[in-house]
Amino acid sequence: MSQESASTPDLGAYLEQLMALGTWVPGAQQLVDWASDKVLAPHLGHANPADHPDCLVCRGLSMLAATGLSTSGSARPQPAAPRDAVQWLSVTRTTGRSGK
Amino acid sequence: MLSPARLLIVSGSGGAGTTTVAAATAWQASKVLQSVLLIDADAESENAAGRRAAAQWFAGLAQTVLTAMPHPLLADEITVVPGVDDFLMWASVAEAVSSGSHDLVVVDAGPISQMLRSIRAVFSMALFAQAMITPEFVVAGAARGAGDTLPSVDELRAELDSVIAVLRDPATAVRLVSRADQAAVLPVARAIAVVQLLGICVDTVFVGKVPTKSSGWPKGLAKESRQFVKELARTVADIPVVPVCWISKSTAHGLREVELGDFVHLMRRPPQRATVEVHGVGYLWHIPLALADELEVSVGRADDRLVVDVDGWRVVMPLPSVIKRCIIEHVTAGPDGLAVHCAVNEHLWRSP
Repeated sequence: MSQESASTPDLGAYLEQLMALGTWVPGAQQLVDWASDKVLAPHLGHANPADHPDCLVCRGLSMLAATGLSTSGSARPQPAAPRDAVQWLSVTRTTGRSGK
Repeated sequence: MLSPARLLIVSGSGGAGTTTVAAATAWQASKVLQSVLLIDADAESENAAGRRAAAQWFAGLAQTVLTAMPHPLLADEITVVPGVDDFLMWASVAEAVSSGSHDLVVVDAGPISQMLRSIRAVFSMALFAQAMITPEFVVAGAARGAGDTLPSVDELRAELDSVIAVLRDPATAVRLVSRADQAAVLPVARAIAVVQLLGICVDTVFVGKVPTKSSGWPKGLAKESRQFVKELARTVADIPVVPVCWISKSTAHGLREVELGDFVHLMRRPPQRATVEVHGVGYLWHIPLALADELEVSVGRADDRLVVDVDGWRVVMPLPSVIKRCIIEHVTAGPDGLAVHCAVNEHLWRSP
């Protein structure tokens, strides 16, 4: 009996939290639906982010590209950027000794 | 007073008498020095024991170092990488010199191209070790559990450094042996340039088997040989050219009679080291080098390294610290060496 009385307040608090969450879930769902309609749907036809500065997704992708971060989502390491080849210089031939 | 030699590397054009000069040098030096070691490093000679030792050493290296690679290799999967046996040979030579057990070590390094390839292999391995075994590589290997890798890598680097230090020591010199014919001039000039670029002294060029007037050879042949010696002396500039007269076909007799000049001391002072001096608003990096007009030279920059190509033989050298922060504008190649003209890179010198 004493155990029942001790567990009753916990159950009440749990039910309160669940009800509060119930009010949040429809709100979150509305937010997702809005983002889907207004942000993601317009972006679907955008191939080059640079051509669509008004699109939020394109702007985000452009910012990521500018910072050098990968957007591919691949877990594989990116291939290292190719090193500069040997930069050959102009060589002038001289004849005769300087006497050094 | 010229300094005593500790290591003499003898190499020559085919049939010029390289082995004779190496043996005669050791033979004559042994009369005045207590201990002289003569090493036959001619790869053409049968040396199965050396090959087995190289394979064994490389398998050991593979077991430790290669297990740290992203995709580990087993020792049984691989064969000895070209150059490893060359490195082991020069490591043995360096050990013999550094041990102090011998007053002089003479190495018969065989034909010139073979000597260049084998010495350059040591420098290439050092370059690879520097480029491939980076701190990230070592940390990745340690994280993978290849804990033994760290001491092995350090040992390999230390051994490469010690071999290069012995080769570049002021008491080390390369002595080239040329045939007495025009076709030998270019290979000898090329070898001098490449060896000097590696930072090793070339102190004498012998002209082998020069006929004498009294040895019964046709007069025209002796005269042609003398002209060749003069022509070679003009090409190699300040490096002494010593004709070795063909006195006898008897090897034992020949060793006693061959006149080699001063075989115990270096025949010339080690060449000046490269210098950097202020030149106008930039810098001038002078790399002293006996550079014959006939040699084709290309010079390039790769990051913080200078790549010099002499007739297809490529040598890579690090830029001096000050040149790393400069733009190399152009290079002048003359008989005294390379003059690298550099302008200050304002982006790298801008104050914070």
